Amino acid sequence: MEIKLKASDLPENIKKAEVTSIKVKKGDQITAGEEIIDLEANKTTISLTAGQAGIINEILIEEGSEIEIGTVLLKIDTNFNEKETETEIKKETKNSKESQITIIGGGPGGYVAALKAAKMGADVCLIEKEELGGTCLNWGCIPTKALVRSAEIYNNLKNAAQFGCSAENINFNWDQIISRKNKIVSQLTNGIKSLLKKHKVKVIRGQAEIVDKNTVLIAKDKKELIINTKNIILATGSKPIELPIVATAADKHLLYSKQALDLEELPQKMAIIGGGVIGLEFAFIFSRLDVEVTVIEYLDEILAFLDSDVITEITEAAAEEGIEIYTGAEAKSVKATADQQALVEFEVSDQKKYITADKVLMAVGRQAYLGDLDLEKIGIMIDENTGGIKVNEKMQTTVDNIYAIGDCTGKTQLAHAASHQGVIAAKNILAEKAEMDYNTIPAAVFTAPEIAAVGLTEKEAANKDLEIKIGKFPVMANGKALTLGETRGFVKIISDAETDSVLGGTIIGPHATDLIAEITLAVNNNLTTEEIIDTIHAHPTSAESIHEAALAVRPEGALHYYEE
Amino acid sequence: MKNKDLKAKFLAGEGYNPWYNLALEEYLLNNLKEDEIILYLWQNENTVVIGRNQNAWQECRVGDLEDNEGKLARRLSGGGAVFHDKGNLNYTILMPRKKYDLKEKLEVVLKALQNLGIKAEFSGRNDIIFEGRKISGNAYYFGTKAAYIHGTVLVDTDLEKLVSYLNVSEAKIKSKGIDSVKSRVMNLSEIDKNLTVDELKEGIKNSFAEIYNQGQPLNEIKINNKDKEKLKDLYHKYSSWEWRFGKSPDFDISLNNRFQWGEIELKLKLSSAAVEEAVLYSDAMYSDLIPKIADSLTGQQFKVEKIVAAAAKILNNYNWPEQKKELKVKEEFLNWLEAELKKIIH
Repeated sequence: MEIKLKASDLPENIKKAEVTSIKVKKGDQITAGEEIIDLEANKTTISLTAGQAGIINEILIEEGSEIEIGTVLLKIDTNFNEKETETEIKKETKNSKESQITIIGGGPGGYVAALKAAKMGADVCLIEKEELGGTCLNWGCIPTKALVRSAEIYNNLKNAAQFGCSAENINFNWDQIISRKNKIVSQLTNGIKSLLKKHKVKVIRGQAEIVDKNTVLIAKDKKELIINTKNIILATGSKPIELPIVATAADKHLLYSKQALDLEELPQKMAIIGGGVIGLEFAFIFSRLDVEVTVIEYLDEILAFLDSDVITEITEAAAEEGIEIYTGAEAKSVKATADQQALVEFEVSDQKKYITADKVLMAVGRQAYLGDLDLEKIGIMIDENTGGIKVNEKMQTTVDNIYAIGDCTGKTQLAHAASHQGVIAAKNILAEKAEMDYNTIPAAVFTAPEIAAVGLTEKEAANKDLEIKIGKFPVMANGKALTLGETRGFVKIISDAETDSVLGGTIIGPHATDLIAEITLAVNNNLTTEEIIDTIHAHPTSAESIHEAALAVRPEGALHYYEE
Repeated sequence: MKNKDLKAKFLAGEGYNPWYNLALEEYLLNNLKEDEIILYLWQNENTVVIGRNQNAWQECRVGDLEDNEGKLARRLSGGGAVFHDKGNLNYTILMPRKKYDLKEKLEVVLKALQNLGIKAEFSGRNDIIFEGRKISGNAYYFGTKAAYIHGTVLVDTDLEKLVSYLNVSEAKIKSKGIDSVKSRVMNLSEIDKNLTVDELKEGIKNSFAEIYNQGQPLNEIKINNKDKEKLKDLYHKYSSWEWRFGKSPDFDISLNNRFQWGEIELKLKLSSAAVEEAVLYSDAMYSDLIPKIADSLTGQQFKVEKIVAAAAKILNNYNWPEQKKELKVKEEFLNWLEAELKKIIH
């Protein structure tokens, strides 16, 4: 890999420097943190350290070289250590353990199932080969929200004047944004660790292998551990779908969401293939951090699971933000240009188009990851449509003592759904009847403005030919929203035309992802709009919009808004 | 208050030895805790301090300085050469790398001067100037864990000496590394003739306490015997020839002269202030003698006596066909070589 000069290597007032001393030579093995090069710039001596261990293949600078941010300093081989350790793993000792429930995968499905089962008195083993918290906590929901917040603060600073405030020399430091994110992630993963410990869940690090329906084998350091278990819960998660359109030479420009969260430095231009939740959240984050963003979506709409009024609203917001969006656009290829950029070729209504970008984020969806387990061998069947593990409402697979939850079931790819599935699985294993209902799972999208939806959409109602009533209230008419200076969006409530029960709702606007809880509660409990209307909502809050939208469902309409 | 989480500390230097003072500065740097910010005030006597990546001989009349019992020192930070005497005060602000913020830290000195009634301001190079003339210059070290900014404040320095030591005549050295930038300097005493170094010290201490310690008295750092023991290695480094001269960036020297008996051209390529390669051209000397002289110089430290002795040894041992010519060539060549080198090492 290439070791480049990063902005964080230098004090903030320095962009270029002269190499004054190179302390390493070709073939040297360096460790992370080792001082490798000295620089001088603007009366400042600067020590550079290696960010990563490796063996130096090539040194591309010499004493006296003028270098700047982005200059490639060294090329190192980082794989040498792994190769060594791979051969070291030998079957030295064998250990065995008894367990009531063995859970494979420590993400929001697995660890919640572990906690629930432990609380119910079970003896639980949880196996994780990477980090507790899974994709959600380490490379998904949480870290992206940390970035959303940093981008939001930067954006607020830029717009300070709108609030009668002023800020000068507004800037941000990407490295500090990333380290803040990392801190939040480690705080949460440590939290999970101690929760599991407190509930006496045995957490085992290593790669699991299912020997038979009652035996799990774990490769752990140099040892192997065998668990004889009554039940197994598979919670192996998902992985990004890779489109086979990227030329090898362009690999260095390619990112998946995981890499996008640990970029060494921000690109100037980014192309995002896929206009779903992941693609759009990143589009807003990067665009707000002054990256030129282009989104290429295959379908005719971005975030196609939403109603078209919501899509129109968020598309407008994206355009205002400066995000370029192509819909009905099929990405054809990603190649590398001679000047070190990625060239993305795509087709819009049979017309070829090209854009260049420094980085290309592939966000075309995720697919079930089966944890490198040979499931079919023991009789677990895979759903051919979704590629996920086949499960019933109890989360039971086709092998009766093995359950599966979360993304690996190919149902929904939502952390909160996985956690709920985990609870359902734990209950069923421990002889408490429970069934999974997928109708009332709220979805949250952290764009700007935020979007949240639950239950029935207009699109689905039309498909199913359902008689519905719709009430909408614009955020613009909400006092709290005006004070926040965030007036784009609306609240929409859909109810059964006959019974008045709330069937679904969508919120786009400030705090949408928090506000959806009320509509979710209504949908889950068959509440009517009348019951929402009869509930007093505090003033002045964003939640008043829900009250008003419920009123708008009815003939008398909203109190604080009328349509001409 | 973003500075509240830093513990502000103070250390007053003892004595006027630049090598000890710089060793102590690096000692503080190496042992700085993540939540500390330290102000260190110190003074040198009759000293030229060059930047980390400078050529000692190109920046300073080393010979003159040492003849007057002055000391040459090389610091860790970048930038150019400065002259220090007791009319000059040095300050160092040491901080964790994360807290490195030039403008904010330099504010300490600027504020102190302004509080003393001096209309000081920043220049484009982050120096502090008064009516266009420099009164305080800074340099910086940005390490892997800790960083410092340090600088000089001229109160009543002997500017004549400053000029005489730092004004190196167009040398015969071609060096890599960093050249000094000449500035018009002035003493604070020209603005306020009653101002003393002690008053300035108090002023800087106060403005540092104001910014980093909510105006409360600063915790003073004590250098105990254990520290002093550990400081020995650093002192040895700062006083050593290898650090002061040996750390000069690669440089080339080219000397030539037309003697009665012919022309001589000597080119030396120096790395770590030792001759890495010597090339001698001559139309007058015997062709087998020329490479022998060049070879003898290779590997020698850049010290007059060492280089001259090496050449002399070859010339003395050479089996000269003509005795008379021998004496003349040998003497004139060695005299010339010594004189030329002395001009450089001056």
